[in-house]
Parts: sequence; C-alpha cells; structure tokens
Amino acid sequence: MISKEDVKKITDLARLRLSEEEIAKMQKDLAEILEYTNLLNKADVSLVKASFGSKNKENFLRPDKVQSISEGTRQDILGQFSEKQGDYLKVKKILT
Amino acid sequence: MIKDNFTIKKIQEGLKCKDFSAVELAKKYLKVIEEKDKDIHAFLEVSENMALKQAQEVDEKIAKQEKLTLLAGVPCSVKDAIMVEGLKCTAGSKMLKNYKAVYSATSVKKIVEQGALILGKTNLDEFAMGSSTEHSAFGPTKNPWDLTRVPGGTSGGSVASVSAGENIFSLGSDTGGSIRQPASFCGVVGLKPTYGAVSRYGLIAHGSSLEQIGAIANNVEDCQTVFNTIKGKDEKDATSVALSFPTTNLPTGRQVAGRTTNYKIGIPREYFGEGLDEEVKESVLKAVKGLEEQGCQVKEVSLPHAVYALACYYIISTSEASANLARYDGVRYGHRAKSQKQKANSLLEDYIADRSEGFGSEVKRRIILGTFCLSSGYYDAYYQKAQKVRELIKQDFALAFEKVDLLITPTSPFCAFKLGEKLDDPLQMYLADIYTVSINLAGLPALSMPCGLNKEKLPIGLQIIGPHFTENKIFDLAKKTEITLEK
Repeated sequence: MISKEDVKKITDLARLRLSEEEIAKMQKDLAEILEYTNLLNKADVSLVKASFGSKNKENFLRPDKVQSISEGTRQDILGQFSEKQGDYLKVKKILT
Repeated sequence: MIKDNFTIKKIQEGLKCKDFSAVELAKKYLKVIEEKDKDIHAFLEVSENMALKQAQEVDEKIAKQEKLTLLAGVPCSVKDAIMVEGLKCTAGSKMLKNYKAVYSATSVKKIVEQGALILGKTNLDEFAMGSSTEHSAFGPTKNPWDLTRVPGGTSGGSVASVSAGENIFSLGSDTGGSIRQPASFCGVVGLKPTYGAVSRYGLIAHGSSLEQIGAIANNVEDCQTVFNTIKGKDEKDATSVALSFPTTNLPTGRQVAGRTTNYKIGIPREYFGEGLDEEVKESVLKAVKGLEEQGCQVKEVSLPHAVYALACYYIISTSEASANLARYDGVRYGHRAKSQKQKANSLLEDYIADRSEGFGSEVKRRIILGTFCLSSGYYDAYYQKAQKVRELIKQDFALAFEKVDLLITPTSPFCAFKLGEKLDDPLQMYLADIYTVSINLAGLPALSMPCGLNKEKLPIGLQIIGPHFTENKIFDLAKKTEITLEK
C-alpha cells in the first residue's frame, strides 16, 4: 500500500507540487493502478532476460559538426527563453 | 468541379486533367474545416497560409509540366505532437501552449517534399497520454459519427479530421494504440509501423521504446501511400532502420484442392474473451469468415502472456515518460509560472512551479507513477519485472508467427464511449487500449480498419498484426478485407 508520505516523496523527486486534495486523489489512483500491475507477479520470468525494446544492436553515429541556422530560426529560439540578457539565457543562481 | 470522397489517386488524376488546381483544393478543404470544426474541434491550429503557399508551388510545378510527386496537392494535417517548422507545437499541453517549432520532423519534411498541403495541427491528449483526447488542455475533440462521444485517443484530432472529410490523411503517433484505437472509434484506417520503420525525429517524446509516427487515412491504399512516403532510415533517429519492405513474398494464391489459398491468419483466443463487446466480436469474426471464404486459412492461436500486456505497458510507458518529461522546466521554452516566480528563491523552486502549473492531471499522474516505478527500492519489482514480461510477450508473437502469416483481432474491446464516461477513472480509461499495447511492447506493425457498424451506428475496428517489417503484407490483407466487406 502506498502511503501519503510515499506520494509526497515521489512528487518531490518528480519536481512537482500537489495540493493536499491532489495528493489524496493521487494516492487513491496510484494504489488502484499499482494493484492492477501486481498481476505481473503471476508471470514466470525465471527464464527470461529483461528486454529493453529494440533488437537493434548497432550503434549509429554521425559527424559532430556545426550546422548553420537562419537568423529567423535563431531569433525563434532566443525568443522562447524565459529570461535573457542579450543573447544569453538567464537563470537564478545555482551555487550559493 | 471538386467531388467529395477523394482519394490520393483521384486527386492526382484531377490535377493531371486540370479539373481543379491545388489551390482550389486547399481552399475547398479549408472551407470544410471552417464549417465543420466548430463542432468537432479536431484542429488546434489551421495553417491556411502554409497550405496555400504549398498549393501554389504544386500548381507552378504542374504548369511547368513537371511530374507529379507522390502526395502532390493532397490536403493533410499533423498531430500536434509532431513538429512543423514555423507552426506552434503544443502537445495538447499548457506547458507548450506558446511553443513554436524551430524545425520539422523528418516525416513532415518527407510529406512536404512529396507535395502534401499542411492544413493544420490536430488535437491530442496532453503529451499523447490518454485514450479519448479528453485530456487535451485545449478541450476535447468530438467523434464525427456522434458528437456526444469521444473520437478515441490520443491522435483523436487527426482521426476525427480524416473521418469528417476535413483532409485526406493525417500523421499521428502511436505509443500504445494512439493511432489504431481512435481509427477504430472513427471508422478510418490507421497504421502503427514497425518500431524503427519511420523516423521519430521531431516527435515530442513520450515512450521512446514504444512509439512510432504513422499514417491515418480513409482507405488502405492512401494509408499505404503515406507510409511509403515517410518510412526509411534517418540519420537523426538512431533507432530507425534501413530495410527494404519486401513485396515479393506476398502469397500468390496457389491452388490447393481446388481452392485458392493465400494468407494463414491467426486468431488469438485471448483477444476474444471476457470484456469484449458482443457486437465487436461478431463483426470482426464475420470479416474473418469472409476472408476464409476468399481462400485464407484461419487458425486459432494463443498469446498466453497477453493478459499481462496492459500492466506491463503502463509501467514501462510511464517510466519512460517520467524521464522524457523531465526536460520541461520552463527555462529555455515552455510554460513559465509568472505568479510564483517572484516568490521562488531558487532555480529548483522555479522548475517545480513551472511544472506544477504547466502539466495537467493525467500527465502528473503518469510522471509520478513512472518516477515511483524507477525509484530506488521499487525498480526491480516494477520496471525490471515489466521488461522481463515484455520479453515473454515478444516471444508469444514470435511463436505465433511461426504458425501463421498475420493475426487478426479487434482493435478495441468496445466502440466509442460517451464524453466524460471514463474521465475520472484512469484504470477504466487504460482498458480501452488492452488490445493495442502489446504490439508496441513487441515493436510490431499493426493496422486498424473499419469492419462494420454496431446497432448504434458506431464504427467497429479490426486490427491486423504482422511480424516486424511486414507492412506490405498487412496492407495486402487489409485491401482483401476491404473488398470482402464491400460484398
């Protein structure tokens, strides 16, 4: 059973904040969904290795080279910054 | 004159014979959108200028008597989780409400190169999480067959737009059934290609090991034409694969005991059990019977681990989503929580404020579920376990395909449900994808096509599943099914 404290801890890890009401709802939803997923405990996985999707084992690389973009595109990118100083992205101080 | 019930072929013939121009075609469809979309709400943005400019270019090429490209003059739309340079790409989220795409997805580049006209961006469940398009931050899309019902999801806008005749085809994406389930609800054809068949570059990531961009159209041939346009290796998607799609190994109809046999079709018994609507079952089996009469061999098969697919899917997809959506912090782009920003003392506080305001409830639920499954102490019990079960599900399919060429199942256990019906019950909503998610877990190609109507005149969908990279076989059987159903 997932506790209210568990939900709060996970919510912190996920960099989200929920109201008390939302936490209660989330606790109920998660409990229901996780209970459903307990179905997997019935599957016998003793003989299998975990599968992580693609069978593709080859590594594809491409040259790491600078590509130019148009001034319009550059402005579109800069224009979406939340805060900027000149052409620099401005954020709050990280090291205090 | 421009007739209705257009297909890509008819458009190309009309353009060749100068019955109409590409600009006329674009204007006609833009007008349909203007008239119909007030009720349906398939579109989040209509890109009239872009479509008309693309149409003019097509007309100029025709005037110069250049050969018509594969999709010349064909009006289409793009799910708003796939980037089109210069247009907004919201992913149906407040988080990206004002986000403008600065490059186009490879699949979009390819359809534009072939002359398609992009009429706009279509609605979806926020970040492609949902089964009804009700989780869009911009309001739900309605099912054109019955406006009180959902179109399915998450590519609900794409599918509804095609179903309503607002355009000829749409690009959608399918992480757990997001093309096929809505295609089934709205009576159109939708393909989820083999994992790696189509580049995911420019698709807003949700479940990276599961999702593919695919085509939605009114008939199998159009769906195939679009797939042929967008498939292929892309250096910008390391998981895309350079493979030829064999056309030569299609059964040729050999004579056995006086009858023409062709495909061996498997009917997985686990897909016809409890929870399946009786009318859906009858309709799918009737289509199978029709194919049998046409000479296909039908055989019951078993996918014993199918029962675990949905649980397995929700652990893996939410885990991947929690990682993929970690990038949205409102700093370089995206929603910025203005009111809380002043109060926040640190960058972390900023992130939390932006994310808590920008994401909707279903997205938060999945991020939190995924974070839980990946967190220390639970990883082995949930994520690792699910990846092992995923291998069992893959093996089921591999064994079945040793006995048969293709599988036929229902696409969804029921027809389109009422708006609001499942909105407050996440688990009930998830069950709408019970027949589609296993295909994504196994990376297989699958197509949904209409196979009849229920008593309430709602479309029923049939799903054809094939081994990896057998899209051409699937299309071939789907065409046979279309013919069988017409009879």
